[in-house]
Amino acid sequence: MVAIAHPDIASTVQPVVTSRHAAKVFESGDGIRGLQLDVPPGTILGLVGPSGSGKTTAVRLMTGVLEPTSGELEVLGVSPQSFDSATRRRIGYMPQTSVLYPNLSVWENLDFFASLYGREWRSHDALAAALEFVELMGHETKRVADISGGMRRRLSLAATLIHAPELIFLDEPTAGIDPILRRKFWDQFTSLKDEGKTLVVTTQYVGEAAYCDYVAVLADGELLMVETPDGLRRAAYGGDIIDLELTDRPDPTLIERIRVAATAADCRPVGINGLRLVVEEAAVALPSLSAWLGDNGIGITQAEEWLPPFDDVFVELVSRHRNGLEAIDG
Amino acid sequence: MGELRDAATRVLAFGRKELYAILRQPRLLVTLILGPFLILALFGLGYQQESDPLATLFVAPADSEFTAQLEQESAAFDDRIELLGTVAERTEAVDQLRTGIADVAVIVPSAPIETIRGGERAVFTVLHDQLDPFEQATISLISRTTVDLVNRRLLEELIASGQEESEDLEALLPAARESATALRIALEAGDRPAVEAQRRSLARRLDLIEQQTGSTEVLVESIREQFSSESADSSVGGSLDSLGTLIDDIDPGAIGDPLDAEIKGARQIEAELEALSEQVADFQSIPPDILVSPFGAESSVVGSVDLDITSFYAPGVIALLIQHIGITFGGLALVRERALGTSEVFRVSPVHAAQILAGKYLGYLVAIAVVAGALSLLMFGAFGVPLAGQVGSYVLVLLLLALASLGIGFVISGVVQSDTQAVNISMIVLLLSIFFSGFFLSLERLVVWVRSVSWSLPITHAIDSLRDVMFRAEPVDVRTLWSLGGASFGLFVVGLYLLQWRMRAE
Repeated sequence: MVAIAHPDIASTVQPVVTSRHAAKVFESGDGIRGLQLDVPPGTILGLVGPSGSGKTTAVRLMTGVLEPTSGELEVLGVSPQSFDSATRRRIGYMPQTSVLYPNLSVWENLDFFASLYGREWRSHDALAAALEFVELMGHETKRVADISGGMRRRLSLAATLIHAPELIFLDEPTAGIDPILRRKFWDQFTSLKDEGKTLVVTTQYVGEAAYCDYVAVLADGELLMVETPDGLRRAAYGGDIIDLELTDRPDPTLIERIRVAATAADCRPVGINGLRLVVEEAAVALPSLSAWLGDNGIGITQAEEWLPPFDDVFVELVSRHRNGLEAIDG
Repeated sequence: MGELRDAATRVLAFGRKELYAILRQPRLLVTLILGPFLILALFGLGYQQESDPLATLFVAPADSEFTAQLEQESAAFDDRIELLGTVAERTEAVDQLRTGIADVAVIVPSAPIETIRGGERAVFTVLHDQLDPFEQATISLISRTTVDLVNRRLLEELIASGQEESEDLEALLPAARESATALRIALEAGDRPAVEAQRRSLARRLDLIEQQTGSTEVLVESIREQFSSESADSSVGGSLDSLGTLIDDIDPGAIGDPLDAEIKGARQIEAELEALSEQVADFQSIPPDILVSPFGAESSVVGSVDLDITSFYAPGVIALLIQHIGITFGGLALVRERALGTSEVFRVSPVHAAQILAGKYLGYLVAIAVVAGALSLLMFGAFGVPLAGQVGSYVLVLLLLALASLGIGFVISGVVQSDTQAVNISMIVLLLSIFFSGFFLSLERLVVWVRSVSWSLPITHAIDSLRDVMFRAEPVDVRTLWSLGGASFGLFVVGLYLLQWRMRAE
């Protein structure tokens, strides 16, 4: 499958990250291939995919930790392998695991990571503000070994943001933390985006795609597509979805008549009296379909757009990708 | 300027971070300081210069008179020998050796007197069950020393007996000298009858003296040979023989002729008897143990303070400890960063490998300084280990050793994959240092090409220099400065290369 750069992204001015078929293939054959995307400034790009799909490898390529085996990649206008100190100061990176020193206190850890970027970030106010941002004030004297996993992730986030980077890479920041904290994290990411920062966030929680401006779907070491969250749904099912609940059980003739009336790409029964239609645009199709049903005396109890959970969307996309691969192999 | 300031900030951050991490582990600090202190204390209190007396069995026939004498003699060596008794059969002694009841079994030679009379040594065979080569050497040394002591004691008794016998000789000599004087006077007076009478009297007394000399003559002779520069002609036997000749030369029938030759002969007899008296007096005045072992040996070290065993090992202990801490800190430092995942953050951040390494050096050096300072205070204060040289020289050697040891640690850290590997290699370096640094085995005991291995270890230079500084009050020599300084710099460069390579390769 060909990796797709979303047209909206492609049209924006000077992307912060530009990848042209960048690939990193390890000796084992794992890695990521055909990474084709542009990340505009001031957006959140979510890298979504199952474990082993290549999300972390993609982030490591963008941060310069790994060198591409092929393709071209530019971050902030330069190859990650050529980052100078000034460029590195513009980047924040939070790895998958909490990289904190267990014998140091919360404050000392933050102070240490601030020091990596220069003395100005070590001010008391800057450290306090970072801790305030992740709601860790009051815990600054605690040893990291003694705080919870969620607090460590928040401290890691504070350490990543302490030098006010404009491009932030977060590798599974919400992994292993409770839903309430996950929500808080995404609120903070959104707040950072509102400040003009650009975020590249990997996650296994497909539902978190909803918080992103753009979502890159990865599976089996390939970038399947880059889309907006809504675009992802449409891509998964071929359009918007309308659920109808009729008063009577529809026969195949009626089903076909309804599909034609709604100009739906697909219409199939769901349950006893239900129908699920795939239309170009639900907001346009739904009023006209309701009118047509009334004009033709077809009783309905419910007609609404159905927003499939991203888990379903993701499963649909990945299944389609894998079926396609099997078909090619077959 | 700003970049320089940021670089300093990063270096200090790493140093501070490492120091905090160590200080937050009080048990580690206590172990680092109290552990070696207790080991040194235990060693100082527990080490004994002499080993325990050897539980000793004699193997000899039950009716051997020599055995009783030996048992009696061995009582004099009760600090070395704990006498278990005498058994008749060798197999019985071997059983007791194997069961650990006895340490040593001494097989008394059969018919020793006959063997000695036959002109051969009567050999004691010493059996033991020790595997330790040092203990074997100790037993061999004690055996030889003890047999030497037995031999000496026998000689002392022989000499004491000779001295007793010489008392009779001494009693005869004045009368002989009186006769000699009377003979001379008679000769000078030309009194023939008196000459004849005194000549006979003197000859008779000299015969008595000759009969009394016997074994005493041999002993007096041997003493005279050892302590006198006189020629062999003036021996006791020679003197008595010449006296006889001189008496024979005095012819009573020649009275009336010029007697110059006879008078001269009589004077010579007087002088010979005087000399003989002096020799016998000398022989009697020297104690038998001095006669048997006339020479002793005493040694003292030039330009060094007096040392006990604890003090001697103290520089080695502190050097080994500092090296081990340095290597362990350095060896684990980068491995743990990799395990924590921080290396990945460093690679994305503006920090350079040199700043990471310099910061870690700084933090660990401060920690090592704290440990070394505390240990030195305990060493000099509690144990009274001398510091004859300058404190600055002592500190300089420890500083250079710490730098070199950290360098070794960082090189290890750069090549290993896990902290287990780092610890294992650190232990191997420790073992290498214990055996080859001169810590407890003098380098002179190693063959020349192995000494090059020793001198390739920074700790060898450090221990050597610390001993010179602490015990000989010498400054740090140039060779030590170059060796430790060069090793520290070289290891830093290699460690930096490995860190950069790791940061690129991972």
